[in-house]
Amino acid sequence: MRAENPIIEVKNLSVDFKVRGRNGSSGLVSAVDNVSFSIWPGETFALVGESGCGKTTLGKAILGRVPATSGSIQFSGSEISSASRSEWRELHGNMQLIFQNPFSSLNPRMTVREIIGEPLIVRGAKGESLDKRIDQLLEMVRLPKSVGHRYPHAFSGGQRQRIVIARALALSPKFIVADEAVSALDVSIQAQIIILLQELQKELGISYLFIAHNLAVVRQIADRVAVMYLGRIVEIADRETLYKDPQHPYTKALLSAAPIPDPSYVRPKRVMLEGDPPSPFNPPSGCRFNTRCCQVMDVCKVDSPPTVNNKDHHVACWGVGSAPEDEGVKSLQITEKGSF
Amino acid sequence: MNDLSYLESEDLASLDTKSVSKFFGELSRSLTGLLGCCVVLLSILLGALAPFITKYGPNDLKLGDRLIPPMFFGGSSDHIFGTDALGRDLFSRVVFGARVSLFVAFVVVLIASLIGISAGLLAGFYGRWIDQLIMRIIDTQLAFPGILLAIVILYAIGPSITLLIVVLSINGWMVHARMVRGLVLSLKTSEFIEAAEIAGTRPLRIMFRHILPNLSSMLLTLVVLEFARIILAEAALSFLGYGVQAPNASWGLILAEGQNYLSSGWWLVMIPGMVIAVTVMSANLFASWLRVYADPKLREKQYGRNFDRKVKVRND
Amino acid sequence: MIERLLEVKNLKIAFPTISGIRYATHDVTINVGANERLGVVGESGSGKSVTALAILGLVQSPGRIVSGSVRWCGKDMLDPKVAQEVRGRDIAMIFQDPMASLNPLMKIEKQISEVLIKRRGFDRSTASKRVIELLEMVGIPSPQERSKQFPFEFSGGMLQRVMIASALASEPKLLIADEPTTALDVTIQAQILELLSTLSKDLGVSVMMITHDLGVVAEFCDRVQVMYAGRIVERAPCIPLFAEPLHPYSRGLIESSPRVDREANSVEPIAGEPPSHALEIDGCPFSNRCNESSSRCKIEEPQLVEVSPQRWVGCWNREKK
Repeated sequence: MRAENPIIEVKNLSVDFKVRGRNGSSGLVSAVDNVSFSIWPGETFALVGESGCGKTTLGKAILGRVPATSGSIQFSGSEISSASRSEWRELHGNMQLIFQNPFSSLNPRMTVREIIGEPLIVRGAKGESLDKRIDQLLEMVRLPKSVGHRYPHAFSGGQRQRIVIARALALSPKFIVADEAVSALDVSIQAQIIILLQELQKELGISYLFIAHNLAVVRQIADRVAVMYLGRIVEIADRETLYKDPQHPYTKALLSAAPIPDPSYVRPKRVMLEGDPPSPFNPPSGCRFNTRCCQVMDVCKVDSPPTVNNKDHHVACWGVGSAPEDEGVKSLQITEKGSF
Repeated sequence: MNDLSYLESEDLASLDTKSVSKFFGELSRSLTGLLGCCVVLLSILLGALAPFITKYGPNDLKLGDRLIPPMFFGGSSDHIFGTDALGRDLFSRVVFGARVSLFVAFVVVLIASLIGISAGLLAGFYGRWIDQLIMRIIDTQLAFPGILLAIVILYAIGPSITLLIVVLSINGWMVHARMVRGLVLSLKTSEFIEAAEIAGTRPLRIMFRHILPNLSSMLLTLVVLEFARIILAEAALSFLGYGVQAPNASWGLILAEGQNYLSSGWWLVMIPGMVIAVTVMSANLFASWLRVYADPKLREKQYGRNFDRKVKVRND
Repeated sequence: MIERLLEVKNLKIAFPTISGIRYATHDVTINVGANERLGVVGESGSGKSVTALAILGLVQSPGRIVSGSVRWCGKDMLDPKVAQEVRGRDIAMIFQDPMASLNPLMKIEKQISEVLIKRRGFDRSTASKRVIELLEMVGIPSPQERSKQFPFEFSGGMLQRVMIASALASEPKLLIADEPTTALDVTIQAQILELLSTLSKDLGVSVMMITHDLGVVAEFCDRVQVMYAGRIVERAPCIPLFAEPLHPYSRGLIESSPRVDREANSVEPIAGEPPSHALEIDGCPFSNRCNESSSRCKIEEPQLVEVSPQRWVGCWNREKK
């Protein structure tokens, strides 16, 4: 157990959206369902999942961009899930966001200096101290000072992402949500930005909530990883534990599906998931993964599995840890699908 | 390790050249755009210099010189456009009329766009009841035919240039509001707007510093088009007798006065008519060019089309 | 000697823009044989997608091929009539976004049977039956009902299967796939790649896989061409390329690719940025980012040479001794 307190503590958080169905019916989509986790100061907590799993919604809820339906979000011990707009204005001094798309997250009609300085300008900064701070931020993201008067269209994706990072750092936040921050970048540039983020973390002690769909990238940067499926967290573990000893069938499938850039790699038999993920409008009852799970048991279709915590390795799966009452612990048997 | 110092040496200056010189450079390459712009500027100039370029006043009666045809049609260089039934110099009336017509158009567009842009910004940005309110007002206003409403008001209260401006402004703000609202709605969800909100920018600053500059090119095009439309609207109202009143001159009024002399003084209708048509068309041509210029994607497409055409010509 | 189906030689593609002429490719030579799986790897700006479009004569005006040749089984693909014949019949293409490649207002059956009727002379009823067979072949459950549905009723992965069915409907000899799985979730990607693999083997269709994902290349392709700044910088069979990449860019690309089985903090980025099309480059386009670049690299552009059997590199530091 760690000595300090977590900087972010999420407990039983749910986010529902009202939607109008195709035939005029209205319903509730539970984009995030009863999610709990903590993030410690100075650590990178990765949130991984495929499209529709709710990871972006979760990130937005933590930053107050999307209202939480129920549950609690605490920042440095204070409850923020129902903060007012003026309270959020203050909180954003400590909690910032890096977006995925470097082409649409910068105002095309503002210069780089104006963009980076905006968080400071709107809080009254001006003159020499403002200029000095902007210079400092440009240096932090390794951009030369002279580019400050240029407009975003003059820069490439990787350079723009640096500008985005500089803007996020302007108010010296302690917590940054990086929502697919490197997904839109070329691989060789991705690596640059990952390293930049890590260096900044070391220098400034920032915590990251790193939202991504690419498990390979996540392994490079994360300290701890949470895997999401259809609004629920199915597994949380330390990085090495997750990659070396994944417990949840979905995690195993994700890891197995990731292509390895090495043709001579001998892959243990691939875990193939059949079919498409179910629609978030109509999630399966019980464990939401039961329709595609190769180890599905009867109880999975009826009851949602509880999260079992074994030395900071949390898993929500009937087949792991807690045994259903009337059946013994089932050994995990992986159905094998051929690899190519 | 991350050597980005090359950014300082790279000559990307071409992408950031002073926008004004770039503007005129591009304009000079388009025949229609340049023509349109020049003609409009010319009419504004002539109107501004009216007292200095006319020999006779617009209201100087000279009953001895009635219905003289224009210069190359049997008249003299004394009256380039000829004279009307009261011996007034038509050129002078047209040029002084330009002052009135263009002034009215300019002021109306200014007021209408200010109201319209503000309304559109509020409606688009805040949404909900403000949006509903403004949209319903627009719908209601649009339900009445504009010119008819204008005529009714002008008739009831009594025509004057001030009232004319007021009425045309009331008639003209909706199109600005609608366009701005639509653009704001689509921009509102942009990530850079969200970034500004997370940075702590207040709504007013977001509207004016973040959203509005990104609409400026579209707005400019609309403003020029509206300018043309108001010239026509004023001409129509004055023609019908509800706009500018005698003895003031305005293009529409001159046209109205000339309609009784179609056989004996065709120039009294043709000339003001052509002046209106040419000015309005020029403004439209300029607006067309402006629309392409303001959108880099359209500019590239245009460039591509012209390139193909030039290549075809060379190959044939 | 593998029979050569597609021969692209010294292809140079130019795009006139307001700010000057941009060359998307400079001197691209690609050959594809029968029953072969070729990977074309590159990042954005490498010219890989434009090359594919150029092969099929689909480069949008005012872009144009300014030099080089494209031959399909000996026929000149630069002739628009030939291209029209071959395109969609002998060479098929699938794209990254299946939603954008299908008519949202037409049922799936109608769209696929169009290919069969127009390009292979089927009649309507035979075509409908064949469509159902094809949908089954690509793994779409209940193909009979689903063929009567519209594109919006399919998920991304299913739609990509439909695209593959549509592409294979005309029994092409070559399938060009431009980032077919980039927009898909990784679990769906695995399904689609397996499908492509099985089908290409069973039907004897060559595949040109265009991608930026080295993992996809490693698992799917037999031979690889690495593209950078509109040029081919390395060409090699798959296993030797990954085992010993010769070109510094290929090596850099492999080293900067994260892998799920790779320790944390082990990616090595390539310094700098790919050249923007705005600049005319003297010498090797990679020289500004290469840690082996010499003065010669900055002045003279290296040519692609065969330094050992089947291994081609364009680098002054890798010349045959």
